[in-house]
Amino acid sequence: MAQTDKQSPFDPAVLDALAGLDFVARTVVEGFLAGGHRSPRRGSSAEFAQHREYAPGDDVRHVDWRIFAKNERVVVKEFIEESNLLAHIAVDTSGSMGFTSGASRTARWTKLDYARWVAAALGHLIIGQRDTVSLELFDDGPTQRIPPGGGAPQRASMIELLESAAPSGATDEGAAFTELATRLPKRGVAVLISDFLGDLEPMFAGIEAIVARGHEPLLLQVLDPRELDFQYEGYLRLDDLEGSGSLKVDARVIGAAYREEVERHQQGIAQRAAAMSLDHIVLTTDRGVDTALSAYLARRSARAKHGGGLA
Amino acid sequence: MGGFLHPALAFGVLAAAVPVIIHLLNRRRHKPMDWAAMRFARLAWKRIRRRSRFENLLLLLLRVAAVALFALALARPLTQDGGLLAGLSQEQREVYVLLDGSASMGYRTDLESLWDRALADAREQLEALDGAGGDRVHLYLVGDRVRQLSDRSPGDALAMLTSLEEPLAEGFDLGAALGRVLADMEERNVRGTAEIVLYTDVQRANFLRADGSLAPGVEDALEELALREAQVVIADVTPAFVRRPENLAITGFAALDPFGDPLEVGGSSAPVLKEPENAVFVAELYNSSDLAREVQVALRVDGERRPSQRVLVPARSSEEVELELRLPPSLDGRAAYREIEVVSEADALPIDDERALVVHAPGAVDVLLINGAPAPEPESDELTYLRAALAPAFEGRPSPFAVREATPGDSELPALVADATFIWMANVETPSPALADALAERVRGGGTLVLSLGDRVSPATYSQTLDELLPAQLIERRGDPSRRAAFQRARIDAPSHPALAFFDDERFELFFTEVPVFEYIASEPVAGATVLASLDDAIGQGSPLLVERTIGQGKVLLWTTSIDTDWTLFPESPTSLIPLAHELVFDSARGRGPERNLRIGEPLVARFDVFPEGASLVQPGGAARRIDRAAQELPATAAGGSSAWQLRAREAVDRPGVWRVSTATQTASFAVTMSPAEGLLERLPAEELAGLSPVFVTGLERETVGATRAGGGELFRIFLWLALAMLIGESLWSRYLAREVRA
Repeated sequence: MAQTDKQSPFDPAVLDALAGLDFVARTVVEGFLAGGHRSPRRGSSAEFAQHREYAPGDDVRHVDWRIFAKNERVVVKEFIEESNLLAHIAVDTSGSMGFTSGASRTARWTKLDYARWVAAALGHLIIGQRDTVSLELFDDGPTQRIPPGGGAPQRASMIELLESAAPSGATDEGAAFTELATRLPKRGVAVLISDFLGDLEPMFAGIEAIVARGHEPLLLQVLDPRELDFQYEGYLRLDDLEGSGSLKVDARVIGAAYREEVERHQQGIAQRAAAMSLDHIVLTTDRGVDTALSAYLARRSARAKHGGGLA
Repeated sequence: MGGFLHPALAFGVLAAAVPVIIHLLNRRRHKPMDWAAMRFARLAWKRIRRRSRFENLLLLLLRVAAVALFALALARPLTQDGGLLAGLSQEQREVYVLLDGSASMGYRTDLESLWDRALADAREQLEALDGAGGDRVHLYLVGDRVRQLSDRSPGDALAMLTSLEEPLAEGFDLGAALGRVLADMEERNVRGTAEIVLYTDVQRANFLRADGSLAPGVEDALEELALREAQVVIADVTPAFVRRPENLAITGFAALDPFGDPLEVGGSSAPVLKEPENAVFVAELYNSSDLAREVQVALRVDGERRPSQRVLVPARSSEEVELELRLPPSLDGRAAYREIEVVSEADALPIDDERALVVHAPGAVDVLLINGAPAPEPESDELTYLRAALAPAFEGRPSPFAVREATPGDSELPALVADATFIWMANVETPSPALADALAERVRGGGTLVLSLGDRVSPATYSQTLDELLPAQLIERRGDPSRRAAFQRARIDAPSHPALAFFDDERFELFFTEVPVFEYIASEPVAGATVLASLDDAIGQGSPLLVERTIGQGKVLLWTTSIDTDWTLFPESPTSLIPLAHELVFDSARGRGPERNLRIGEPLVARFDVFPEGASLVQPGGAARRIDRAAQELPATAAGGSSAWQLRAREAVDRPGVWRVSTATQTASFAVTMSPAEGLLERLPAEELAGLSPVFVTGLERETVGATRAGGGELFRIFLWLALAMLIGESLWSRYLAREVRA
């Protein structure tokens, strides 16, 4: 992929060299905003924030005609958006999230590393919009939690918890999501960050439970590229990261069948998510976090104009 | 299957385990890897496990089969007659071609020889074989021994045929040839499919002995071949118009002694011509044709042809012809080997039209007589009779002996001793130490010393001064000085000894055995000495009369009685003393060293007095090639004794005629002769040949032989094809699996 070949400031390869996750989150989100030429304070709420020069792409409805009539300058009005968005971010920290294939320079981070960056970036973004956000870690059930909040203290707490997360335990997304549904205090967006490798039935039963509580789940599936293509050769002994034993296989022989199984699973997720009108985003660890998120957030932003949402 | 041609190679099938071992080793080497999506891996493995095992097993089987089939093909599997695989086998011909390379194959008819015809026929047969189809040819050249020229493809055998130019100068050993074929058939596990073809002139002597029985070794070989149901095709290469080959062969050539008997070599390097100026040779001729033939026969001496004489040889008979020769002395008058050849008119078989002989003409032998009891009166002188015996009247011809005489007190005696070839010391009372040393040195260097005794000899003194030389320890004087009571007669103990060979004839034996001996000195032979003649002085316990002891390159003979008439009447009998003295002298002068008259196939060894620098071997035709072997120095017999150098040619002599080993200063001549039987060109009729054994098939039946041979083909080709098919299958299957994996 082209974006993995060059080192943008938001490339995980570069970000990883920086010390703190907080900085990573900021960099990612600000990069996303700059790329969209939009102000974080833009919006259509009543509280005026400031004027600025018109830029191509600005909504012409926001042009301040009075100033144009007086000074012949084309400026637009910016408003401080009033929001009541509550986002619940849930990050899978089970053993399987500790996998990395090391297949390329950009894919040498574990899925949990990647999930951390995504969660931190989103938290940064949401808090920056003066919305509130909560954070849950789970494996076969919720393990640690930061209640909803906003502002810098909330962001610092989230970063601290995410940095301390380590992959362990078996996954049970169904049980985890079901329990999560009961614990989410206020209706909002439920950002579920996981590899979603478990059985679909219990998994989506849990997701349905979240939906039933009035939340809007967003499925962010983090996968290593090798988990999708299984580009291996020779004889392998696959040791389960969640401790369910080993399997000796001939990689060349099993490859095609494996890919079929993965594809079937992915299609199952996609179909069920579509049926529930949920967003299902597949993030592979060889893609830059900003690139992956910006594609989605842009789409989401465009959709929000017609019906509200995260942006 | 009916076994393998190379059973040992069948163990190569164990190599089929290699793919299995590799497979097992690979299975053990699984690279460990942490994995998250185990659920899909397990589902996938569960789904494809059975199919994968089948695919891998099939791949493994293909590899194992390819290796096993290839190994089996190398072992050359054979079908069993009538077996299930017989239909798959490929009929391959194992052809054993025997070329009669004997000298008689050089017989020419018109422009080509029988040998040429044999090569052409063999070539035609080999060209009809299918080398690419696995036909195999074993080509043998048969002479006195069997030479295998090829055991590979027909092309290889054809190339060998092209390199053959002439037949050998040898006989033909049919028994050895068939035995060799049998051994090779056994080694290659060849059964009835073998075709054995012998290209020959069907010479009777090669198949049958003179008494009509089969030649040695043939009967056993034929029995073995019959058990194997094999047959030998006798391809007669003699043209049909040659009903009986016409040939006049020289089958024998020898020098005659004065009594008309062939000269014996008698342990010397060549027959000794005692009277070169009056030599007589005899040549034996054999006429193979049905008509008597008159031919011209001549001698050739040292390469110079002498006048010929005509000889009438009756049909199918032998005829001896005597050829007189006044052999001129050698240029320096010294002893020499002379090359004598007898040649007849050239005919269809040239190789037996000449026969060579190397003789030794000793020249005048240097004789030294040491007189221990000289006297002015002839009747009292010790050497009167011996002197006379060695000065024969040769009617104007030079004497063969150059006699000198000395007494023990002569100051020049040591120098005379050193120059003499033959020394006779008679009745010397007390040999001085200087004389004893000179005698010992001369003997070691090759001289001959005869010690005769008498009244002046003291056993004790002799034992003291001549201890190193005496062939026997002298004990005491015995006999009857009065000559009234008793006397002793002599008995020959070594009749084949050259010195006594003259008396080994009932006509002349009495000249030695009936002469009375009245007195003698009893003696006890020393270790290594040989009693040539003894006295009948006691019942069966005769005291030695003539004892010989070899010392170094020379020898000492002890005559235990006197050589004058004091103790015996032997000297008074000219028919006794003269032959004895002459033979003793001639024996001392005969050539020593390696044999100069050789048979085909024998090694050629030349001996020289000085180092043979740059020696070359000159063949009968004149072609010379350098002898690249180093000469060996024979150990010197004593300090100051003469040494000799011996040179052995690398190859055995293979052509009849005169061979020479030449150096810058010396030449050694050798006469090489071949078996006389090769000139006896009597053919064995086809009917008689077929009657010898059912194994023999004559040329007329040749076409039917191949057709009647049965089955027992090879399977290696089909095995190779199968192995190739397995390899192709393995490749295709691997490719298919790889594509499946990629998909």
